[in-house]
Amino acid sequence: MIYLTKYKTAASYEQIVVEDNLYPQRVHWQPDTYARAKTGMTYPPQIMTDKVLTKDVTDYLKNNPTKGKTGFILAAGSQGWAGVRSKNDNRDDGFLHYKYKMPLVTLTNIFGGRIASSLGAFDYCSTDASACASGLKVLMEVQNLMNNFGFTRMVVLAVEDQINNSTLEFFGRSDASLLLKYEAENKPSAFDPVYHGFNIGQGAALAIFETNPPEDPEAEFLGAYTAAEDFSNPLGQRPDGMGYQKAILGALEVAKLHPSDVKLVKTHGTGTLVNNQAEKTALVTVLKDFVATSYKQRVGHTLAASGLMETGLLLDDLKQNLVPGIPNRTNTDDVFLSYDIPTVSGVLLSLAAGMGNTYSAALFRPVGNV
Amino acid sequence: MDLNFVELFNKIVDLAKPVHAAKSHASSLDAELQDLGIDSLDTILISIYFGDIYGIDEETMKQMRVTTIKDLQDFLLSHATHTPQTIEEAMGRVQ
Repeated sequence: MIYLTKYKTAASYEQIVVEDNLYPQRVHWQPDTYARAKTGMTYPPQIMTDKVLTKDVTDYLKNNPTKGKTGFILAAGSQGWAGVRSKNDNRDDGFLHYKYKMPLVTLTNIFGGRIASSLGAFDYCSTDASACASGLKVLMEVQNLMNNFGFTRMVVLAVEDQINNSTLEFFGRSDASLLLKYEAENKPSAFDPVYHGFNIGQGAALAIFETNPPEDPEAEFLGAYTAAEDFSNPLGQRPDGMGYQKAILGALEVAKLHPSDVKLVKTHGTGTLVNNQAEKTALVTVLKDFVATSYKQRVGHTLAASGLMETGLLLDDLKQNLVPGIPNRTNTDDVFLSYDIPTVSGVLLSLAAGMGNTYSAALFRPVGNV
Repeated sequence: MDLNFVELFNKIVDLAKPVHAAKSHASSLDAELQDLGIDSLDTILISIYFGDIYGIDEETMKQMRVTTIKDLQDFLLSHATHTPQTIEEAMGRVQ
């Protein structure tokens, strides 16, 4: 059995309006991470990393050596962060324009290698670039290494440089993020007949998985699977949710569970019309008796960090006897929850999807929620 | 000059290394970077920080080849367009 021993999240509830981008939009951010970003001497993903890679985490790793192998995976979403893919940034005087003076550490594999080394994760280090699925997609790798290759501890860090002119222009141009000009008629929501879409958000998550945790774990990690689907447009999603279905069924098979075991779903829940259709169709096709929620309406879409970070946020809420409803719903919905309900017992399914036809599913059984 | 360069060097190492990485601090100008566990990536980052502190352009900093902290200090002073007078002033340029 693999356990989720520890997790840390750094979500952004504060919002600002970025008006001087080509695509003005609201974002969830943490202003302290942008101190001196324009000088190129500091960079937001590093400061976000420091928020989840806290001293108690490193002390835990140091003071509890594991008998087997230790690995580290950086779920980074892309191979290079904002400063090294700035072609989209057409406003070099923009409020959020910055270019790193340290391009080497914005190449995510080098950033990951430095973090792994500082954590003593000397047996394995890799970096994942599967866009917004990254934070959950790497759990398939965690599972494989721990079940088949003698790893007894895996550390996952999910972080990306989410809020910058490049990213805002990319999502704005593709009409994916909710633009300011549409706010009078639209609000962030998911699976709703009226409101749809998301804002970009800044966030990070760190998780430690172990086979023999020295202290009480947070959850059993039951299985994970990532799938692609037969679709010609790698920016789109099939309406029948084939990718999601394959991911969910794959995770259930690995975990040796039945669809009826899943009682709670943390959806990818971007709220885009395309994702609403695909994800909802997949869930109602595969599962039987469940409730679903989404976090992107509260903390924005944190891209690579989203799948893992939102799972942590839900685990936090479950401890408070809460499954939160999806904000800004306009109709009553008892499945894709339009209102808060108490904690639900059973298996938790977490979903994420990434551009490039990547669909990830992970199954957990929260401790005390068996 | 009042600025203690060894102290400044140690502070820049703290900045350049990952936050929880083990850090060896220098005790004299004669200390060699290699003996302090300063690897090639650390050296690049340290040179970027020092370039900003001493007002030296990146192209010049790329030419930096040093073995000891004294070598680093000499290089910086020979190319500086700005010379900080205190540790606080120096760190204020990079934090």
